[in-house]
Amino acid sequence: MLSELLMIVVGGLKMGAIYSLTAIGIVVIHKATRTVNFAHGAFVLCGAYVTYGIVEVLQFGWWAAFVLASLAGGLLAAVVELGILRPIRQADSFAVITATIFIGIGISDIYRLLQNTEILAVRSMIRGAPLFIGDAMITREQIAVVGGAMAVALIGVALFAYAKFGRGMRAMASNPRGAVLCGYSSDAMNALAWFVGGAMAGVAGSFAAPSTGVTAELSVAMVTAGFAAAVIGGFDSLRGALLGGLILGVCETLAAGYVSSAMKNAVSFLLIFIILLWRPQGLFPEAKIRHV
Amino acid sequence: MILQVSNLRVTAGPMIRVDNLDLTLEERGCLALLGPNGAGKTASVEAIIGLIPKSSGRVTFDGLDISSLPASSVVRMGLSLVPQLRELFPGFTVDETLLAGANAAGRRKAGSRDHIYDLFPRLAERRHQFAGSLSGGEQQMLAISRALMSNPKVILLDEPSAGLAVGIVRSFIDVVRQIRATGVAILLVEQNLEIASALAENCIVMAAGRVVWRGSADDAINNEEIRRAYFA
Amino acid sequence: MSRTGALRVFAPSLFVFALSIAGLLLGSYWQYVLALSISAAVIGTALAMIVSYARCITIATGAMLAIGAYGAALPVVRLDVPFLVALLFATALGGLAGLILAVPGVRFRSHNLAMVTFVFQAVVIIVLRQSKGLTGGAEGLPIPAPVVFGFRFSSDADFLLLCGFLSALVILPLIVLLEGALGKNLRAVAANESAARAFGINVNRHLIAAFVWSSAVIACAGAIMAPRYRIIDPDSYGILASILALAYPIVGGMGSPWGGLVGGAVLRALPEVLRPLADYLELMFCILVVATIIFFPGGFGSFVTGTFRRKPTKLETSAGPEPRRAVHDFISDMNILGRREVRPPQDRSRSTPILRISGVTKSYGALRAVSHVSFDVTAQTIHGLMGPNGAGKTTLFNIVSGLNASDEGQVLFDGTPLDDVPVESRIKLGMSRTFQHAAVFDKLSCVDNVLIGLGLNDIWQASVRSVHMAMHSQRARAERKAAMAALDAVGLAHRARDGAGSLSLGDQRRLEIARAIVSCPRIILLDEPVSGVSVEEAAGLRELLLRINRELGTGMVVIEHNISFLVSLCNRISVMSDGRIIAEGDPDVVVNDALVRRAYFGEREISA
Repeated sequence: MLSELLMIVVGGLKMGAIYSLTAIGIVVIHKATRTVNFAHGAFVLCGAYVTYGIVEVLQFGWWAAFVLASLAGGLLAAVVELGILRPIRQADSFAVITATIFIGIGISDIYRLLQNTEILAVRSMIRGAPLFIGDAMITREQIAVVGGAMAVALIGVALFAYAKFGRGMRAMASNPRGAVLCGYSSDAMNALAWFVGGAMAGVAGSFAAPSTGVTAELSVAMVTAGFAAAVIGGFDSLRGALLGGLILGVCETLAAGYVSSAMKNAVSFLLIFIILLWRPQGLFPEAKIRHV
Repeated sequence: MILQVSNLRVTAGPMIRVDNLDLTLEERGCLALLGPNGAGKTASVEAIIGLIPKSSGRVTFDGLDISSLPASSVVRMGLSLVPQLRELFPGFTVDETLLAGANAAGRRKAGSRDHIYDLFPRLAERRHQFAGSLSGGEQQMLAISRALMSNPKVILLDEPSAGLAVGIVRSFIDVVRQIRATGVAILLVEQNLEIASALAENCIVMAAGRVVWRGSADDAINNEEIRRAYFA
Repeated sequence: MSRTGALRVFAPSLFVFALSIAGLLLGSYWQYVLALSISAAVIGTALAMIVSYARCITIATGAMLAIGAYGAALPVVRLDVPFLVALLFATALGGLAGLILAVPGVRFRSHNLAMVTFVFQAVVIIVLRQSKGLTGGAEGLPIPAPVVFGFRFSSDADFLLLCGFLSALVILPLIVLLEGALGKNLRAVAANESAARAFGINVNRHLIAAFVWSSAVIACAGAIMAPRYRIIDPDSYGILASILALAYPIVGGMGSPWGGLVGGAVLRALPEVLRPLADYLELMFCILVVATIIFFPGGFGSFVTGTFRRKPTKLETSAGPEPRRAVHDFISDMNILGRREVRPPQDRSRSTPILRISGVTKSYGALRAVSHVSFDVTAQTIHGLMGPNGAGKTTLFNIVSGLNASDEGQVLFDGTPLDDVPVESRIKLGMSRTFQHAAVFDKLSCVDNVLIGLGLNDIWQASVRSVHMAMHSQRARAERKAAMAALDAVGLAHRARDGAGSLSLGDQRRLEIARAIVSCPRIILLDEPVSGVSVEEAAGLRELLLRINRELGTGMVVIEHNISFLVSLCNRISVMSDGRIIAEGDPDVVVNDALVRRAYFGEREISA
């Protein structure tokens, strides 16, 4: 059934776009600071929670929610970097990775204490009649999420590639000593990278909130999906993270539609495993320009 | 004097890399730091600019004590380093590398790319080429240009002639003379006695982390003691 | 010595069993809590092997516990298999699971390995949840009380005793391995991987072994505890269980198995002890872990032992008196061990080249680091290698010792081509080395550093030697004697028990030499052996190397920048510049060669 397939794919693209945003945040942080942020899902949760507060509790508009969710995610990430990770960075990656794992759990716990275990529902971004392509029904929400998330993702990638502070982060990612000699402060660049990564996570949370609701489980689910998308794309490639998220989303809905819903949960794990073993550099690795 | 170093000591774990280094660089002057491998020359300049930590010692630049400042701040004050390994960004174009270097000008006025391209026509031809695909000599030119973009008062050059073909060395000496003519003071780390004496008025010879000889470059070039310092 | 050695090995098990006996004095609820503590102590000890010693992050603990729990419960419930047999089966299953996880997993390190363990964790739980027919799925599997030899352990007190006894038993082999050669090898890998490989430690196999043993023990812990829960379901063995278990060694202390043991026991009991704070407990846990990482890196255990550790006195830190007979004693001790026969050198001129380097070339992209280098090293001679920075000397060394592969050319050791010989196997051929930046294993004691130098480090040997060490057998004593002899030969016998990281640089270089000679190698590659040491220490090291060459007949290839040192030490010197050999021969002749001087001083034509 072609229309059924189309609906499944669109559904997959919707979650995929959210995964892409999350993955881009993880990759930005990793490129700039060489840290894999296992707490990233908690930043997504933060953004989703703020969105709930803006849209449901305060009854403000969605644009306010996007802005405030990204700010919240960014600030939370910057605080984690400056307050906790900077002092332990001299130690090997072991300490930093472990710290991010427990910070992630800790933040989810704070949320659970604030809200208990109920799932908070957030209304859709856009109301209105769905569109039809043949027999396939596509909701406006789906279009809005895919379009919006992709737009934010592309803005993020463009900022990193072309903007002035993007240059500093890329210099730091390419050669930290060279970057320091160009006057870029590694503390400032690290904090900036975490802020940008956290902001992307926050916005991802905004987009995710209507679909998944706000719940502590979001934290683990999103870091897993984000990590899987980043691995699929090739961990240091922003473009790869974007495409990886979309691929992951579509694979999940295909698995749910044609195999079983239990399979859907397993998809991200299986993809991580397969890619790491078969093509560890990812499907879209950045072309490495080697020193002559 | 524009740069003064007193009692500089640099250790790496149990190893003493620099032991009690004193040096003075006059405004618009050129001082050469010579010595064999492992003498501690690179450790000295990297510690002076703050790229690696100092165990003790004092560095004064343009009247200010910069001993405990991080390198990114020191660079913004007008003290630049062209490191031994160049430390370029392989994925940046030549043009973008210069823009990155301009960041180090901080609040001061940055150098101009046009001026750089006049000084190095070969870089001008390759302005949109990736730094990683340039030849060794071009990379060295780019590394020096990047440092110049910050409009520095002092440049520390760490073994700039390393890996350069004989023909390029000559034009390199001309370039350094031109840079000095604009008023920039230079601290030159070199193994090559002849290049050092062509550019510097005074030199300091280090061995095993310590200063073993000081004097004018002319005296150094004919000095048997220095050759012994290298081989003993 | 034997009594304290035995105490070290049995102490953790005795402690665990004592805990269970102490619990008999308490009420039924506390007996339950103690059983949980003991189970967590076992998990913590197992994690000490992976997390503390091998420094790998694993988030698969919950899955291993589940494999053990279901692996013992299903045979008992469905097939009426006796409890103890099911326990053994579950333990073996855990080991197998560890193997399945580790074989693909250890090619990664750091965050990718963590992710692979996470994948394993998630997939196991999903599979258990989906296999409703077999495991009961999310609804849970009821488990009867354990029956051993007809006796039913149904009360809390009974169960606590059984738990304590079985846990004490299962910890014992783990402690033997951890305190023995295997544990020391793992810590060596974490300290300096290249040095570990150069002395025969195959990193991947050691990491796999660590995962297999730990997973087996964790599964056993899960199997022992499961009956007390009365009913088990997959979700209680989820990712959270894995992450919380990770805290046991991190908070408890990363320096010894006790850290994981006590960390586990205390942290698992906390939620029960602090009942009123139940809701906040997990958050406090996370804060505790992060605070420990920031303020007490290495965990509380390392902090406590660090405060109380005796600092070596000034007298002890200066090098000991020059050993006169020490090298000779060393020879006799090594022959007792039955190592290869050590003979002083005969007539040098008739010796064949022990090392032949032939046309070796290595490029990195467009940079030719080493270009068609060929030279011979005669057996039992000291051959120097010098040259300006970037000449390619260390690259050449890494090719000869096997850490790098050449693009072209060949290295022959005593006539045997080394093309297919991995670096880990070269020590057995008789080649050892030292490193440019004294690559001692800083957290291990000096004598342990030298023991690794013996090169008896493949997985099977390491495990067997661990048992020998625990039993303080004759073989273990002989090995230790050999190590002490090597330390004595370099003048460090008085620092044998001190951590290698507390030594001065000169002493660390001596320790490296001791580690390099203990296997009675035919040739030692020395990379800048006197760089960074004082003039007096350099003279002492020179005397030591000359004596080793004279009395043990060991050949050497020495890279150095200190040219007067090289000239006074070597029989022959090769000079490299820009990847090529530009001169070779008698030291005095070579040093005065015009080409060599030009390479250093750069008397190039620069003005026409």
